[in-house]
Amino acid sequence: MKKVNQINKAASLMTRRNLLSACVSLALVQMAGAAWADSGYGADNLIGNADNPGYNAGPAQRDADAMEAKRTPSGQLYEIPRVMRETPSDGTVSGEVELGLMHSDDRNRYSKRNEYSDPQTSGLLIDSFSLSLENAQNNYFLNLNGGAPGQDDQFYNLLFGSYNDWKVKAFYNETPHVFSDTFKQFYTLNGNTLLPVAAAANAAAAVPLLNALPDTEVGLKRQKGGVRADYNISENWKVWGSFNREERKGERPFASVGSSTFVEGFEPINHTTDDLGIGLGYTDKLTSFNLRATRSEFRNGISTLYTRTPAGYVAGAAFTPATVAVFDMPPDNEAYNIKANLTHKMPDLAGSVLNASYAWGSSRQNDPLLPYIDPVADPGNTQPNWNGTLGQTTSRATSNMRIDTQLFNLAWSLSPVEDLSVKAAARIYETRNKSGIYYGYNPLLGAWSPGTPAGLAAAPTAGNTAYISATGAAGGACVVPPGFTAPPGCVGAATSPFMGTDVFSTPRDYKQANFTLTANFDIDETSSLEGLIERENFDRSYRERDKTWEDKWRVGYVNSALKDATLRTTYEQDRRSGSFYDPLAGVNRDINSYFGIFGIPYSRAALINLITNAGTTVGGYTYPTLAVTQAALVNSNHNLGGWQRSDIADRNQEIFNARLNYMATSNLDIGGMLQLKRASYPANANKGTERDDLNTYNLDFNYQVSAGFHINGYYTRQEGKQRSRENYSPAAGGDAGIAYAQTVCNGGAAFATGAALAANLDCVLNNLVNPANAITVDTHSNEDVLGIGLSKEFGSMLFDANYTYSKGRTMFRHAYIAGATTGVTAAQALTEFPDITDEGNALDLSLLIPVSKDASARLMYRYESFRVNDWHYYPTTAIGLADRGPIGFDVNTIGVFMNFKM
Amino acid sequence: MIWGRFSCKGGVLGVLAALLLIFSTGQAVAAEAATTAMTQDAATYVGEQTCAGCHVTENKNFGHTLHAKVFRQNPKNEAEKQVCEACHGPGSNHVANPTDKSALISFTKSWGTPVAKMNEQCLGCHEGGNRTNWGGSIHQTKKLACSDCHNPMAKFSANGLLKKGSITETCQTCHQQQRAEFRKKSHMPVPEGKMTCSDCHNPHGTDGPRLLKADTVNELCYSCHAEKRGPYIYEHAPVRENCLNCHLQHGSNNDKLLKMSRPMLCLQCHDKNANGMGHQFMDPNINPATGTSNLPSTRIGRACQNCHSQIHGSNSVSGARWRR
Repeated sequence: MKKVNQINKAASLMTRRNLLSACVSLALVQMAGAAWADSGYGADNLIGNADNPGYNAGPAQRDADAMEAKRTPSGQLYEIPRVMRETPSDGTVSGEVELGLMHSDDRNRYSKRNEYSDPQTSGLLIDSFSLSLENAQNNYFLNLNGGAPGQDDQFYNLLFGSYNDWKVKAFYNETPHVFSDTFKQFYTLNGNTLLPVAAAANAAAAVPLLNALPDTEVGLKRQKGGVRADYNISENWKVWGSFNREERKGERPFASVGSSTFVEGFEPINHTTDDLGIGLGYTDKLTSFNLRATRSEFRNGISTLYTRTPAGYVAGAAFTPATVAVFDMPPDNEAYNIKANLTHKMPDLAGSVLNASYAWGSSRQNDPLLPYIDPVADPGNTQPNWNGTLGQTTSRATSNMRIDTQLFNLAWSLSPVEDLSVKAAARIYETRNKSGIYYGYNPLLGAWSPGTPAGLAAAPTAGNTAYISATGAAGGACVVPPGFTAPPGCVGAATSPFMGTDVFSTPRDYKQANFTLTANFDIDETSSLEGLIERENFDRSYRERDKTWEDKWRVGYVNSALKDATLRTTYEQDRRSGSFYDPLAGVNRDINSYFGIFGIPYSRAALINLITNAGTTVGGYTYPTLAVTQAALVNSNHNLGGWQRSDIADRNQEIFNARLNYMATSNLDIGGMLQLKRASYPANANKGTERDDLNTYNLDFNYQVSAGFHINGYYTRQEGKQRSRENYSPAAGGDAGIAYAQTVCNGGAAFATGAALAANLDCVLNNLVNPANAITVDTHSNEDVLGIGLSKEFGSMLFDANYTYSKGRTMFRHAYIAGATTGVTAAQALTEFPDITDEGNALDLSLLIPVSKDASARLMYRYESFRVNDWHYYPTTAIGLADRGPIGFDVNTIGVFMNFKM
Repeated sequence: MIWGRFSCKGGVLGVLAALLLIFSTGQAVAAEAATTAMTQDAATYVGEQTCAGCHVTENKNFGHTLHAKVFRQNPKNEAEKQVCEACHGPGSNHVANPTDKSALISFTKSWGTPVAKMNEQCLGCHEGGNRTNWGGSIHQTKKLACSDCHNPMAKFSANGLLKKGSITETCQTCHQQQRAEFRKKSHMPVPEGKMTCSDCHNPHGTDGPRLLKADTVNELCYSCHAEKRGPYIYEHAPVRENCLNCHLQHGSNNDKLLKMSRPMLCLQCHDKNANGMGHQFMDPNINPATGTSNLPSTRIGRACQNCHSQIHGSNSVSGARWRR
């Protein structure tokens, strides 16, 4: 019987490109050894592409001698091995290549077809190749394989070494990422400057120009290569080292720029990341130890992006600060990490196992800071980027940012009595922000940003107090941040009633501590009960809540000896609460914008001082009036009115999981899976995020009719439901301004003095918005996925068919309150956002025909379709949208391949 | 504070190293213990050829696997030299009575060897390394056997001796939810063969939650998205704390794997202010019949991020609002 190369794929578990990948994965048959990285460290565990996603290749036919249906301990059918090509064990050289011709009836590129892959649409394709050298006598091996040379998703692997002694792995892998295939290029890149193709006064004028531009593809490509060496020093000791370099080049849709013009641009990407790792491991009967050190370095070839605004653009004209948007792109950074873990067994101590881990890390970046008045935007400016006299407002020349981390984990497990195991664990993770506060402050002038670049009519000199005053007026109090001295001519005291200004960084830190107690009781050899309790403490700095804590308990049950079935199920409840929720933590900076005053306090005490003294003059400083203060509180940008931000809000959560594997017959598996997740936010009842639920249901089957005939399939549905309240702050009516807060906090009366307001500040800030005027938003996000696969041998031929269908729908339903909201007409109140929908089909058919002992032919047909509707990309004149979103496609592809082996 | 005692990184590492020296017995991996145990059961090794005499098919398929190459070409200890019996235990009792299921260690459901025993056998050689945290891990407490994911008796996968052709396929025999999530409109490139489950997870156990390979979610994400690492002068608090505050880890119906569509995502924490900023978040103003709208920039396209484009953080002096 001729042995042919073939891959059988369980359609239920494979992508819509299964067939092609199945057949071409034959090339991987001789690949041996471990992953490029490993399951404990690093990425790049899979070096392949859509047509070769890491499958092992083998002869086409299943080994009929191995048909006896065997099952995993959980009851799932094992795959039937394939008849492998026998090769001599001494001095073996083998290899194969698959190449052929493909043709698609639609050769266009689509962002949802080419998003991460580069399928050949026409012409010759070397789909995959492999080479394997074995010298059993000397215990050496070498495996080389790759695929799609010349395509954007090409890949190559090399592994060589000596079994059980050492090995070296090297790889090169390309991953495309297409963001859009309907992008209107309104800008061209000149160095690191985006220049408009034409002038446009506003978005409405830009849109026709955009519409006239052709669709282009915007995306990037990751090109990554690496090498890793593993060496077994002895039976107990092992050492490894690795180095990877990845380059990412391309473009992606980016911000809209141009002030009122609002035309979307793109971000040019030229990123390089180098990762270096070394490790040491020790293992014996009772003890294992791992030590790992890594360094990652990121470099951005375009760290500053200038975008010339379309309004009034004249090609070749000199820049002015008002006509150029300056973006500081992701800065160069480095990260270091050292981690050690130790496990020791003490079998005489109730079967104890002690596990300890420690890790230290550091993330750093020290990019030069852009001056507020950039030399490119202001060609006459030759000042240094800080401490100059032309309005540069940086307190340091470089960012000098650094966050260190530490992890400490200790776990002790033991079996105090038979059939019972208990584990106690403590895990503490902490960040230490060593960056210090950055101030937008010019030490030479005592000037703060945001300054007014256009307000440089009077060139500031040392002693010019025009930019110093806390009130914006000359001669006012001089505000000097900690660590700086008042510059010459700075009027007033070196200290200020206030602590900081609008523009400063917040060096956030957090500490997360988890304490867990777990118990497992073996009812018998096939079933067990699990119980878990856990407390998580989370300390945060500079957030609305200093502390949150979450209590969790969980019970689980496993039984692998149910009548022909295995059941695994868990139920857990989580309760998160926390310390006082201080809306001021998010308000301070916002208030400053509306006061237009520099020197607004950063601390709660200072803000209360500001409010208490509203309208009075203290120490030569005239505080804003009570009316101005109240208006600033109300108008503070994006204040939630006391609604707890969802990531730190009180939350009650329940999660139920169940998985059943049923052995319907000796060769038929049926599986069911269910997850129900409920999350509610009690503090945000009738306001903010209220609920976040997610339910997932799955049914699948696997039927091994015979050694050469398999059928499998699955259906999964996922339903997500979120409810939140979105705030309308009515400008008129009974709840205008601070009126509702006065109703709740002051019996309906106005606050007579700043002191009265300050005394009720927390109540006011938590009741700036009447929840009755909030709009309910229900978001339902559903997904249905269906997969069916079939593999059938006809004599020496193999037929494979795989079909996958997916459908997604996201619905938004609002409950408007007519009359109570501003800006919404009755007609508009009846209009909903359209559902966002997507639907995809993929059908793969393949027929493998052995031609000779060393060659086989494969005929393939593939159909792919995609449909999408997303209102984010609807035509509009309100903004110059360059990215017109993904579009649908229908593509039929046929191919003829030959596979040759040696 | 507890950290005060451990603030010296070198000190902690030194402690661990000292413990290693104390605990280290220098003994070979526990395969020898397994060898001793089997002997104590009065069974003896019969040799690979005896096994192959009956198990022709198994031997044929096994011969192509990494275990076979290692055991036959370069065994490092007595257990490995036994080849078949390195895993299944001494086979003399099994030869004497092939139907006696207590006479041999097997790794399939029907044979009935307890899962704990199966795993103990595998860990006899594969203890430590990436399995250091196996004890008490979620897979272990759920009574998963090594052979629930691995099948070293034949070559199915390119590496790892998996029961399926790939890591992804193997995981998805139980994790069907994630399989469906990878089919969503926006997803990690797992179906495209550019990523796999073990790029983020260590299924053998970790010292953190969700079997993540890094100490935190963010550190894991930065391994591929280093440009987001910063630290930035102006940080977005929920970003610094956890990427999953805004993103989903496997797939989403929304762009960029976001948990919710923009601007609704942003509105979970930030409100719309009709008075000051004029951000009209609501009011869809869409004509479903024509598909056109005059949605303002706060909703169309990237919504809030049309202006707040540096939402992950900014190093610009004008970046306090993440617009530069």
